[in-house]
Order: sequence, then C-alpha cells, then structure tokens
Amino acid sequence: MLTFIVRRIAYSIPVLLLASLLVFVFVHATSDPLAKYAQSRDLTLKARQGLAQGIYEQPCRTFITGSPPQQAMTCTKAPVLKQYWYWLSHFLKGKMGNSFVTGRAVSSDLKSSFGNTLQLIIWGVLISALLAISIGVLSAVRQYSLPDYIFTGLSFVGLSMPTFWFGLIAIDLFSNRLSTLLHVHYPIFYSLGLHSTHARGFFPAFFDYARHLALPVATLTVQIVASWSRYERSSMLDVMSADYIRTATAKGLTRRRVIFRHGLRNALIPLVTVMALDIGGLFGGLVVTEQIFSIHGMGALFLQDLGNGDTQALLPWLMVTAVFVVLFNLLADVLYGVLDPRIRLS
Amino acid sequence: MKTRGSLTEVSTDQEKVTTAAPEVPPSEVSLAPLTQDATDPPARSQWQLFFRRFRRHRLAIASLVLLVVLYVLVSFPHITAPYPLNPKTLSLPRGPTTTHLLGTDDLGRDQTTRMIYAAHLSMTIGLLVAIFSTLIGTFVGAVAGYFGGWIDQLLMRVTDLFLVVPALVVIAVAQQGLDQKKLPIVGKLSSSTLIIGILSILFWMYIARVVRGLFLSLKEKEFIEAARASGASSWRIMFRHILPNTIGPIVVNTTLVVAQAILLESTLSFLGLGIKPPAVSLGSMMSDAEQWVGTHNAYLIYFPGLLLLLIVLAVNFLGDGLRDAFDPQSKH
Repeated sequence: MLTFIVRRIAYSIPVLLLASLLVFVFVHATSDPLAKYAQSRDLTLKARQGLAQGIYEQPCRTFITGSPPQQAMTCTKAPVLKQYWYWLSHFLKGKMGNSFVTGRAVSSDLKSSFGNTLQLIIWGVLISALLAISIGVLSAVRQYSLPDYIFTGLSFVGLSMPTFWFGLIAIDLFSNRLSTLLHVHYPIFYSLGLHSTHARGFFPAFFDYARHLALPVATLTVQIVASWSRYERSSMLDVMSADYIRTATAKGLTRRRVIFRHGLRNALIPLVTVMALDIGGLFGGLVVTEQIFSIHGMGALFLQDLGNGDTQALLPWLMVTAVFVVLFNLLADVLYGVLDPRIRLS
Repeated sequence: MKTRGSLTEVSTDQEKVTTAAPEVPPSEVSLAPLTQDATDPPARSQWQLFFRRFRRHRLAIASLVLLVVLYVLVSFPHITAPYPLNPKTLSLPRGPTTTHLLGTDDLGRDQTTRMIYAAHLSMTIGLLVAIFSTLIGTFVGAVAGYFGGWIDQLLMRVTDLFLVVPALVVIAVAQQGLDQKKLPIVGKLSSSTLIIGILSILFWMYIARVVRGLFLSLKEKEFIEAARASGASSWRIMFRHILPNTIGPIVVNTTLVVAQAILLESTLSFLGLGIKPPAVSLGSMMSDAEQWVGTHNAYLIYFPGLLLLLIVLAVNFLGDGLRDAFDPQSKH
C-alpha cells in the first residue's frame, strides 16, 4: 500500500510541475498588467514602472544585484523559462508576493477566500452525499418504480440546468417572492454573503448562518446530487445482482441487512472515488455560485483578480486550485485501494 | 464464432472502400449464433439493429425531432423572428403581451426575437465544439491506443495535464488575453469564434480517453490481425478497421459534449467572458437580465433559461437513447 501511495505521489509531482509551467507560460503570454493603463495619462512613468514589476520581477530581483532599474531591466528581458524558475522557487517557499492592484499580500487573500469556499464545500458535500446515497439506493432497490422514474427525470433536469440560472431563480423565488408572499420585510433566505452583522449569541448566529448558506448550498447541491445519485444507482444495481447478495438473501438475512450491510457498503466504493475527484474540482469550481451569492470565496477572488488583470495574484490561485485537483485525484486512488482490497493486491 | 467474424471482415474489406459500414463489434459476434435458429428472421445489418433499438426509445426520438425542428426554426431568424434584433425605437421593459409573446427586455427589444438569435448561436457553438473536439480527441486517442509505448505515454500525460487545469479558468484567462487582440494569420477573432476554439481545445480529452481504451482492446482482436496479415498499413487498420467499431461510444460522447459545451458557453457568457454584444447567446441574455431578479421583470431570466434547459435536456435524452441503442448491454 505504502509503495502504491509513494508511486502515486511521485507521479503527481511532475504533472503539477508541468501544469505550473504551462500555467505560467500561458498567463505570461496572454496577459499584460500594463495593458489597462496604456491609455491612462494619470499614470506617471514611475508608477508605471512600479506596476511593471511583473509576476517574475519581484522574485527575480532577489537573484540579481544592482540598482533597481538595472534589476528591472535584467528581469524583464530574462527568457520565460528563467522567469518561471524565479517565480517557482519563490512560490515553493510560500512567497507569493503582493497583489498589483490592492497591494495586499496574495497569500492572505487566498487564505480568507479559501475559508469561505471550504464552508460551502463542507456543507454542500455533506448534504449532497446523504441525498445522493439515499436517492441512489432507493432508485436501485426499486428499479423502474415511480420514485425511480421521478428521480431519474429530476437528475436529468439537474444535469441539464446551468448553475447560475438555478441560483438566480432560487434568489428570485426564495429570497424575494417568498417574503412578499408572507408579507415580511426581510428575506427569509439571504442571497448575499455568509453572515449578518447583527446576529449575536450562538443560536441566533447559527440560525443566521443557515439562512445565508441555504440558497448557495442548494445551488451547489442540485448539480452534485444529480450526478452522484446516478452513479450510486448504477453501482448499487451492479452490486445487487452479484452472487454474494443472492447468498446473503439465501441464508436468510433480512432485506434491510442485505441492502445496507452487504449491498450499500460495496456500492459505495465507486461513489467515494467519484466524490473525491469532484470535491477536488470544487475548490476552484464554485466561480458561478460565489459570484451570484456574493460570497468572497476562491471563485469570486479569481474573477476579481482576472478583472483587475492581476497576474501576480492569479498565478498562485491557479497553482493552489491545481494542487487540490491533483491532491484529491491522489486521494481517490488511495481510497479506492483502501476500500477495495482486490485493487490493492493486483 | 470469432473466426466467422474475422473472415467476413477480410472479405468485405476489399470492396468496402467508399462505404464505411461498421464492422461487427465483438459483443455482437458472440451473440450471433444465439439468433441463428431455424426461425431466424432475415439477417440485419448493424445499422438496422441500431435503428430498431433507437426507435424504441421514444424520448430520444422526441428529443431528436424537437432539436431538428428548433434548429431549423432558429437558423432562419430573418423569416421566423417576429421583430428585428435591434429595433430603432427603444422603450421600457414590458411583460408578455399579445404583440410581444415573451415580453421585451430593458431596451424594449422583443425577447422572442432575441431568444431565436441566441438559441441559434448557442446551438451552433455546441455543435461545432462537439465536432472539433471529437475530431481532435479521436485522433489523439486512436494514435495513443494503437501505437502504444512512449507515444501513448506522452499523449496520455498531455491529456492528464489538460484535465488538471480547471476549464473555466483557462477559458477566462485566454478570453482576457486573446480578446480584441490581432492575431497572426487569422486576424481579430469574434467572441463566438474564440469561444468555439477554446471550448474545442478543452473538451477533447474525454473522447481521447474513451477512444484510446477502445483501441487498446480492439487492436488485439483477430480481425485486426487478419487485416495486418493481408498487408494493410497501420493508418488503414486504424481508420478503416478499428474506427468503425468505435463509432457508438464516440457518437454518444459527442452528444454529451454538445450538452456540456452549450452549458459552459452560457456560463461563460453569463460571467461576461463568453459571447459579447452585438452577438447574443442565451447566457448573455441572462447576464443582462440578472439585474431584474426579484422584480416583476424577472421573466427576462426565466424564459431564456427555460429554453436553454429544454435544449440541453433534449440533447441529454438523445445521448441516453443513442447509448442504449449502440450498447444494449449497458445499464448505465
């Protein structure tokens, strides 16, 4: 098992390095932090030079001796690969530099955004997993029944719906129209941020938190449940037709015990893998949800940095999200081996 | 049984130059003797069997009809659209009336008309992206699966690399970088050309993986050995002998790419990173309408979204029906 994990990690590192090179070259080639200001007359030459301290320059300067203008000249003219090396060596030490636009440390922005996204992911994944497993098991155990058809239809709708549309409709109905319907002057479910400032005490604050989270988590959940429940249904169908299930039934176990002890436990293995893969993508993948519900998470941060043309902040963002994708890929592989001894042995 | 299959391959292979009739997939070969009874119905080609199974899938048929009719209707907007896209007189948004069935937007433009133009663009983008990415993916997958060795390793690592980088991000950065920029050879790209290009580059990996897997298993079959023994070149074996056998999964995956491409395009346009005015897509319509959430003008969000949902749902049902028809054993 250990060799397997080590081998998998060893394989992930070159992928990540290559991805980082690709991302660096890509961002380097397509973006120009000065482009926005090219027409601006307000910008003095000095300020422009300050802005020109690009993604590679800040780290690059530490490698080169001389006066700042000389350093800047040398750094801007360095070949892309060299610039990449300067950037990477700093990034690996945790030095991400400061944002061009806000001037804040990139790492602190990333940290706070990450916390917000993590809250969405934890609640979303918990609820989705519970729903998807229940729906999947129900649909599989009663295949071709009315509930099965309804859930199948709903999952098709869920997969065919743009996330942002569901989010907007949810805000329209549950944040605005519901209040009008109930003749109250506050939204029942909030559509902005994660907290209100006025909620004090543990229970009111938690209640307030729940009212903020309800709609974004629902938006996130609909998409995830639609695909996970299909997955669980088909793997449960596979398992339930296996010989050991027939054996379990034949030796007189109750139906409940057969389904949950012998069926579900085996049917969860493929789902867990898919879950791990999907969760890895969520760290950078909640752009739309966060944007609609004005939550300052990773996705919103990305859009902000992109709008600002803030390459200094974009690169670490891209790297951190890529690391999570790779990390959860790894986790999926390892989990698969842990849960299913047959894979480990072969 | 297998020899029977491979012998027919060799014999038909010589005449079959222009018509690319699908060869017998391995699963069908083993099933063939079961149906060869005394009461055997007349032999059916693979396509006939496919159409028989597909016809039974009513929802898929209905979806196909709906998509074709819809696409024809939106393809000729100067005939089917009730109003010009950009009328000279502008007014306030007004809800659905008898003259404007789906109301007008905040500039007084007829929403039905805009949705016709938008649906045309969205569907065309979905279709073209699916075609291009299938071409790339099939080629990469075929080469990797057939030749194996270091070529396979290299191509699959590249595929992994593309999968690691989040799609939305690449698109957004590329959009920002390439939009409004003059490029060599092609010149200035319109937002729709750009989005088709970027999405095609982002969707080929899934098809490449599927095709590679199929090629890996098919190249070991006897009929390929027979083809090689009779002196067919590698490329001929790949594209004339193996490829026709992989058509089912490829078509199914292409359909799924259509659905995903339409959804991703609308999402990007919603974020302001996709289709830009004067072009109009369903996503950009909803982006314009976002400000009306919770007001009595919210119909501007509902209608384009419903149309988009209908289109993508139909594509997904079609894909589902195709999968069942191509692979009767799959339970999905």
